[in-house]
Amino acid sequence: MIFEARGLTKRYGGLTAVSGVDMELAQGDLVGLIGPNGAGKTTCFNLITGADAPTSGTIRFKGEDVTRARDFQMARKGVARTFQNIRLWKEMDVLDNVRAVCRAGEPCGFAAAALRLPRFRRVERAVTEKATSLLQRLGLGDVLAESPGDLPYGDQRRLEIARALALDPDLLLLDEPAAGMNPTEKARLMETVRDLRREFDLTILLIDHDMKFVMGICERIYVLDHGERIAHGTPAEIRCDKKVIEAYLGSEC
Amino acid sequence: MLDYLLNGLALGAIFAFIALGYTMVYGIIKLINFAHGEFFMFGAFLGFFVLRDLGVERLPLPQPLPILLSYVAALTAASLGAGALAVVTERIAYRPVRRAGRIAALITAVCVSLILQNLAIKAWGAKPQAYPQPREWIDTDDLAGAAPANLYAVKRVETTGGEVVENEVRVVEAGAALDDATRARLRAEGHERVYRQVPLDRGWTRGFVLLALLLWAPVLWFLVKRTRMGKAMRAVSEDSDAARLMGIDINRVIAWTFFLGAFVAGVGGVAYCVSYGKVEPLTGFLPGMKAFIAAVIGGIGSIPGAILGGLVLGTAESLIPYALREGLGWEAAFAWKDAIAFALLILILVFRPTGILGRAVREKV
Amino acid sequence: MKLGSLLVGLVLLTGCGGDKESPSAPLKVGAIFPMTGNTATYGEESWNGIQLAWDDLKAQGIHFDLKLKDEKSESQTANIQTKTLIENDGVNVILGSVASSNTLQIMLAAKEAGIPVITPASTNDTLTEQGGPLASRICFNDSFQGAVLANFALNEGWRKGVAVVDKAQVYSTGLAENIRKAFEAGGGTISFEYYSSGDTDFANTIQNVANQKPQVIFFSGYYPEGGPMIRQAGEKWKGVPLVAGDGFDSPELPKLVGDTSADIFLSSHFAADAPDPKVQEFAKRYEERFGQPPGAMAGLGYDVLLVLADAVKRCKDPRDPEELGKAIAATKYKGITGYMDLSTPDRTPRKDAVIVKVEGGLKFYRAVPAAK
Repeated sequence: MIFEARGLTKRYGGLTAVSGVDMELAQGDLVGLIGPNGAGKTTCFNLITGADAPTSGTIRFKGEDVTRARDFQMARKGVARTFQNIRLWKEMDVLDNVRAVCRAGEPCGFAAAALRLPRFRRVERAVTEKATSLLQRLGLGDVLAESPGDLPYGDQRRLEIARALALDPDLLLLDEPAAGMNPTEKARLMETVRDLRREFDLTILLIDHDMKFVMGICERIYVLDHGERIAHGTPAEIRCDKKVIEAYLGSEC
Repeated sequence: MLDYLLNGLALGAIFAFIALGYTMVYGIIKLINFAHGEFFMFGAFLGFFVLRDLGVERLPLPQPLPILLSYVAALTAASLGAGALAVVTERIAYRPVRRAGRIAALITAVCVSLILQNLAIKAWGAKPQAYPQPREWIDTDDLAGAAPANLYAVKRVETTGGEVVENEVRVVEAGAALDDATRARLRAEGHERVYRQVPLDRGWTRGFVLLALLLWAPVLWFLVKRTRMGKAMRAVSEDSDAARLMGIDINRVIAWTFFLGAFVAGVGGVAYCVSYGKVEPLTGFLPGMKAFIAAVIGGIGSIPGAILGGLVLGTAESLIPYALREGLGWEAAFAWKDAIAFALLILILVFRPTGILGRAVREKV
Repeated sequence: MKLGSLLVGLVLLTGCGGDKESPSAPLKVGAIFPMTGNTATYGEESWNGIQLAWDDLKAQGIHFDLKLKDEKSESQTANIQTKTLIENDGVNVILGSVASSNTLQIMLAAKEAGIPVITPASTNDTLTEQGGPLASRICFNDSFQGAVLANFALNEGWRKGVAVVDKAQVYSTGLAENIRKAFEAGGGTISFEYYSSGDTDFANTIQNVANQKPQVIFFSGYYPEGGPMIRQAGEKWKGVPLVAGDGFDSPELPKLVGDTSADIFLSSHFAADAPDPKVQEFAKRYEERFGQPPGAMAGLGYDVLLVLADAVKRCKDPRDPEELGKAIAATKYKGITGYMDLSTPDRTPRKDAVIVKVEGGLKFYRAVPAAK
């Protein structure tokens, strides 16, 4: 198992947002996390990425107990994410958005940069090459110098993915990657996600509201309701699950 | 007119030096760091101790290299020391209140400023102290007007081998007039030359400040625009939560920002005190205020803005009173330069709240 | 008996102010000086002088209960500290301060409470008038000092002057006006250049002065700005003599001025190396104890406590402010800073001044006799 959560619980004051959730991801999995609004999906993401510390429970990532690891440490260990409401740095150009995150070549301290040592130049070149090739891979090779705010919505989503990939992640969390896309774009996104998983050896966990999208792309699905895991299985199993239909699908169908 | 312009630029360069730190810290955590003037003061004091106890005041005679080295040492101590103080201050005072809102942070900053001032008073006394003066030595017979303490006699001493010739230097005893009799006596004792020590023209220190600004500004610009740390700074500045989740250690980035700002202020502190002649625990207060104004005028958060704002403020403080005096015959105009600075701030805030180079902040919807 | 003394103690504790204490308890004296801030050396020197006098008096069996408060070189703080001393500490008389702006605040606050004030060193003309009948001083005032400075320059043959004036101080604007009156009356011409206390950059002021090519530059202000200003001027004022008021009298001045070839003269109340043996003895004792020669503020500090002791001696009840005030105003006392007769309409002695020259340290140059 590359990722393992046991009894994950988060309370805010008297409110229990996530309660005793277990989750397992194997290398190369593409798993969905669904549930009605307020079911605790985003809290789960926050716990996994270290943005929030769980009240109880444990998280293991690549065999290491990372329950108390902070967010930037999780990112460096290989957990990257995108955001539901896009959070790019709009005052930097597209290339710099990726370069700010990118690690490549040997470590290079600030002092080396200040003194413009040759090492700094080498690292700088490696980082730029890596960032550029990532952006090209995601079809953003032509807009390197543009401001992210000026890009179409779909491109911004892909830029977020490129930025997340710059961390060399093992586990990629996609927070509603298909939100606001039309069916064609969604279809293309599905393709892209599958391809990226293969190319970059990724394990992917995604949240989305669009059941069709999730069912179409994920191999397994976890269902949350009121902070608790109410179901787990293949899309076919989930579709027939009584609890799920009651809690979630029932209300829509 | 040219004199006044140069005076204004020299002062403005110092404002710019301090404003850089204000603007960088504001840029990254939206904190107006009122203690920044105290980092400047701290640097000035460290430079003072190096120059007084290890450097120029200890050197008896014209020795260009050691003197140059002692200034380099003073600037290094001042900038690293101020930087270290800033990092420590950020860690123990600002970090705990970072999420407590901007008012809490602002109040903390004002308190830190007062605490540092008072610590400096406790440690080094409240009275202004004369700053070591850059001097040059003139080998001259024209010694009229030189105070006796500033005369140095030089004797050539041959070492036992008979080869190496060294200069033995001694101060002509205080109160001795350099009349013909004294000179004859000195000559009889083997002192061939008598030096007069004179203060270095202020043009040198002011030139140094401008030069340092010209060298430093591009370096800072480069650090912020081109390096990973600089990009991380901008990322944190814009969306620190996203930055954290992208593997950026924002505590480290913020500490570096404080360090860099104070590092530059330390250089400014030494230059300011060498140029204006004294240091005291309140040294940082008024320049700190002015630099804050300069940062706002230039557009707070913008590095070129801080430099431009500093130079504009310094020049305005010099040329506006000049114009009022020459044009309107208002004699006391120069005594009102501080009022002019604050008036300029208000005008900028009214007509261009984002400053000269500041961008309007995009509201997050 | 035990219970009785306890009761007396309680009465004393609850009684506000000191006026219910037994007559044998030492008189409560408040001292307010700038111990920190811009003019801290003035406070330090004044207090050193007072301490020497205090010890001398103790040796003679005369005791005072002295309380020192720091006015931080701020007039507002001077006002607050006066009220604190009067209301909380119940002092009977106040000594202080140095800068006239700050002394004025002390005098105004004390006037309201009806407590006598003696300032050792504040020279502004109108101070004792504004401070009321209980306010007095032991130094000359600025109309005398202005004339001393102007006449000194005129006697040297310097007729075209520029005065550099701190516009933010009562002392300096008043003194400048007095210099102008006397200098113009003696046939000189003078113009003013202004700065503010707290300034550090004087490049433009220096330039303005130099542009006028004066024969003499007067200073009306304090040394923390004056010293660095002279240093910054460097060659720009080369060859022009500088003449300053007593605001420049501080052992720090020569250090702040740094290396200079300029002739700097200042008028003062006292010079440590003046030929008077009494002064010499004081200077020796002072230097032994405090490690530097006494400036004018030290001499005045020493004298002010002795003047008070002299007045207290002549009082039946020194705790009666009216009586103490009258006794102070009737003082005729020869101190180390000269002969002080306070029985003038403005309770200001007509004293000798000294001209001091800055040469490494402060050196006695010549004495100027008192006005008639």
